[in-house]
Amino acid sequence: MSEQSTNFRNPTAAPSLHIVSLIVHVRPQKLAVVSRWIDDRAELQIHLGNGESKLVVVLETRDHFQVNETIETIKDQPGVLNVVMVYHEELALADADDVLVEIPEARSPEQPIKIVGDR
Amino acid sequence: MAITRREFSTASAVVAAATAAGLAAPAAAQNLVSRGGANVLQWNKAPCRFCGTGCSVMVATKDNRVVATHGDIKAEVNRGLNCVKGYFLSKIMYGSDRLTKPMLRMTNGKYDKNGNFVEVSWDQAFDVMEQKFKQAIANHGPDAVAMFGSGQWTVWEGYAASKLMKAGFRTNNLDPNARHCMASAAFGFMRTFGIDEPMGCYDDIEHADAFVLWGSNMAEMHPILWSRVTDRRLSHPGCKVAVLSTYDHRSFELADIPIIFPPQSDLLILNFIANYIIQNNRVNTGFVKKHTRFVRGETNIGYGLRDEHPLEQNASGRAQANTWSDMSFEEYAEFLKPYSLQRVSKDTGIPRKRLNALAELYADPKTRVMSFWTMGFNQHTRGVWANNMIYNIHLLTGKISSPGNSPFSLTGQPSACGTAREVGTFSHRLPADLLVANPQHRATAEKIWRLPAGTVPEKPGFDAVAQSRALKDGKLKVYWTQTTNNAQAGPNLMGELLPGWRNPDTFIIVSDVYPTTSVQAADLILPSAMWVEKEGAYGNAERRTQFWRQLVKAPGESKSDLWQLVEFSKRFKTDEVWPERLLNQAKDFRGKTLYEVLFANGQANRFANTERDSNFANDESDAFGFYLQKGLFEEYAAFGRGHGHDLAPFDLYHKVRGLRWPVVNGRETRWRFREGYDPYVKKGTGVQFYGNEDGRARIFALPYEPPAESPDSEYPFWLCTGRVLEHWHTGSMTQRVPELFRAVPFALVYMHPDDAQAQGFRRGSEIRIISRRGDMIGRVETRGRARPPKGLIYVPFFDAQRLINKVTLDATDPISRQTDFKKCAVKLELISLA
Amino acid sequence: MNGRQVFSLAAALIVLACGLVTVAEQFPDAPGPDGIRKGGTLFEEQSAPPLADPVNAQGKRVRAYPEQPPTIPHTIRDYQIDKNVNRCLECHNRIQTGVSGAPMISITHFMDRDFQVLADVAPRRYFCLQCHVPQTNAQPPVGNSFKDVDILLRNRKQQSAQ
Repeated sequence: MSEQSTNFRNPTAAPSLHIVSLIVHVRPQKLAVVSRWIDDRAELQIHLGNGESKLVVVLETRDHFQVNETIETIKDQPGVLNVVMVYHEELALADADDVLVEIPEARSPEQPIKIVGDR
Repeated sequence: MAITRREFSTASAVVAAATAAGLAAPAAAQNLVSRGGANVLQWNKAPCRFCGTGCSVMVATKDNRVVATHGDIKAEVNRGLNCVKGYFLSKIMYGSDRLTKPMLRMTNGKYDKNGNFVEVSWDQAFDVMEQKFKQAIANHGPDAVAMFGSGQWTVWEGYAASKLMKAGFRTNNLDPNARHCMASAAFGFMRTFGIDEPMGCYDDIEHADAFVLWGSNMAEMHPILWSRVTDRRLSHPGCKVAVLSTYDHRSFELADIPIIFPPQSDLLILNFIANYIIQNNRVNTGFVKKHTRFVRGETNIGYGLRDEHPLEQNASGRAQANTWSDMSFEEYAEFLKPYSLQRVSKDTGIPRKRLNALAELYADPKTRVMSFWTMGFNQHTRGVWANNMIYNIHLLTGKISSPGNSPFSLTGQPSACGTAREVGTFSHRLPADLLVANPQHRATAEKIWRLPAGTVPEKPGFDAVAQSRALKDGKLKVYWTQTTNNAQAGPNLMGELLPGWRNPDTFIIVSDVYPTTSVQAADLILPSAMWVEKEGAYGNAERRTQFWRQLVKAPGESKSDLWQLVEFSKRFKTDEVWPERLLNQAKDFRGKTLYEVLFANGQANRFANTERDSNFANDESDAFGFYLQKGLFEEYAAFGRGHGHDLAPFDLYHKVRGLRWPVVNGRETRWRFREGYDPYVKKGTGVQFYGNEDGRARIFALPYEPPAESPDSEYPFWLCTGRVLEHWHTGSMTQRVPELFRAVPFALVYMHPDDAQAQGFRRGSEIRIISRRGDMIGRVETRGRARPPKGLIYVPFFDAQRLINKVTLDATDPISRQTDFKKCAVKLELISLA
Repeated sequence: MNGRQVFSLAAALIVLACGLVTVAEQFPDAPGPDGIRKGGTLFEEQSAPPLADPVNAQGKRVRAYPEQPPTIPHTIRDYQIDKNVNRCLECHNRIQTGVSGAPMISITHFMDRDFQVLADVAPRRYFCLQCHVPQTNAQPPVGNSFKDVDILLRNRKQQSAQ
């Protein structure tokens, strides 16, 4: 496994940070209550909303298992219709606050993550 | 402002979720993402390189390398899933023995059939090829050259090959490896419906109440469709799965009705079910009266062996194998009577209860049923019949062309449908189901191609097996294969194929990406570009056309098959390859190169390179100075538009996750022949099988006939060959992915433990498998994934080090000319006990 | 089958059998590039290496990229997986991991075709071996030069530092 052994990170040893984004579908009349409940929780942060029925929420946790539990907990809140996980990334906790090197030519102002076929 | 990894990830997460939720991401988050430049991967869609399922994958590139792949969540086919092969697509291009330069067998600086391979330039390679082609055509006529192509060719590659061979060199000696794969299915469609390819689509899976697998091991061969079937079976109450095979395999894990039957007796079971439906008054009389007609097919049609073979001597129906005559429903019912429960149960050993349970899935009008088949039916000396007979059952019950009611022919290659079948790479076909033997069809092709009348020859060319025989007999002199590995996949290697390729009178050119078995048997090797190293298009088993972009550069001097075909056409002038008769009639064509006549013809070259998306490379279009792929596609699409094969405009396919043809007014067609779904069905008819002139599908009376070779006292075992999940076809790509190699490194001889014991073997014994044609050495596996009944062994063909096709028989279905790789007789000898 | 047919069948068999003897003599193996099979050996039959059974992994196997399904790091001989029983999930399902100590299957495995999160493993993900495969110790005859994206990134960092 030559190409694998060169990888420098050993995920068993290093604690990690999970960054997960969720779309939370809410009954419009419960939006305020649900938003407040999310705001009260340190690991969750509301980033966006359509002001009516959808919230984009980011979960940060060091515990892999907490991801699914949190989704279930949110789902259990009165007024929450559904929770969909969109993005999940595991960072090595030690690297999380590394400053990234910026490569100028990689910049593309209008569409940062380019996926052909996206409309 | 510096940003951290955490901030970058959070921003990415927000942008992704916002996109999915249809919300505008805040500019700050977007900017943050774009600033993490070093970490940004370019993600683009591409269809998977392997089977006919046609999963879409997202491909990440960085610094001109593919670095990751995953299932495309936006693709309807696979919704984010891949099988293990699909997940390892990232590695298929990076095998360390990748071919990067043309190589020619030479001694003392000159071509020599027995020489060592020496690296040459593309110019030198084409020089030798040109000389060989010209010599063969001048001395022996155009039918002395041939090409063997592939259901892995992109749409435009197959189309360019079709034009070059059929219109350029004027020979129909072009055949795809799809001949080994689904020729029987294609002929089955044409005979029953008069038009090729499935009426239903994968959406049927989420609507069906029952699934029947006829000699198909979907769990290993079409894993993603199997995951959809599994999903339905486990989540839809009452859903049933029947699995029929000549040996026990992974698909039986989900079976409610498991059936092991003796080889060839599927024909008995099919007629039994039709008989059951009629005897129990379960015929959908209204449907049958309105939409079908009954015909009696020709019988005793032989086994596609050489003329002098004893089995062909008294095959009375051999010359007119693909013909039929009208009969009545009553005559058909009478014809079926001998296929009674008692007889079929006795002849097959299947319990009566189980046969009835199977028949009831079809007979019960409330059960929506989907039938799947692949190589078990198609690689069968009566494969076309088996295809016709499964349609009989669906037609008798009217369970066809509606959601969940679907006889579904699966395909083994990513573009068996889109390329091999649709663009006319079979030796008897032209694009869009047209036939070379039909003068009107030839005239249509000549008109679209802007060529003089009489350019396309009428005589069908050599099919795959006939090509090997013609090489051995010296009738074919020059042979070019692309994107295929017939020296491992073709039947009877020792008797026909290898003697043909190594015949001193023949010159064999192989275009490929790795030193496959075929490359090792070649005289000239051309290094090819593969998959996302070129812009491409595939068409999957549900009529879905999918495009991809060139994402990385091909290594070294390797070039795509498309470039090879088009560049090579520059080497020939019409005067050198066309007869005087044709040139006299078309004076404008005199002195022109085939390149000018076929590709720079004012049509295929009408789109400028400025129309390309400048974010992507396109090496072929750069080389020829116009948007070649778009020109070829649009010219080809003219064959099908307005004729039930409509394709959407070229550019649309780059934006969507594929579309199922016919695409009319921007809408794809999920169920053909059904009013409300298919725009070609006349209003008020409900159902219309418009491929046939009378709008009716044919129900065929076809009997049981025995296989070409059966076990006897000298060769007491059946041999069945096939694939495994982890490797695709001859393993040329998957054997070079370390994880896949280590998962299943060698082809084993799967057999029943009692048989092993009786032969004096045990698990792990080294044995020799011997047929009348050749032998192979392998190790015995008695508790593997394939669990044959007594009397049958199973050996996969992916392993280049163990060529099971030295053992197989080149008997074919006489109609489809597709080889039966599933049945021949062998004996076993112990080498070492282990 | 009448006497004449038997005779012609026998004659055909003799021709075929003789063909077998002469194929290798008539067409000596010409050299060829090495691939999975060694070049110049097409007419030979090679002895088969012993069975390679899956092995337990030594240490953690790192994935080639985040989306790669992890390979199975232990043997799975005689595991029952069918519509009634799934031996893999007996340890790897969420609720079992507390007892078994095995890694939990990925969260993505709880989503159905429409990405709704279900209470249990999604049926579409039920057959584990479609994506996760055990590994033997067999050595691939040819290497693979796939480069981990981390290596490409480090190369870039070094370049931009210089």
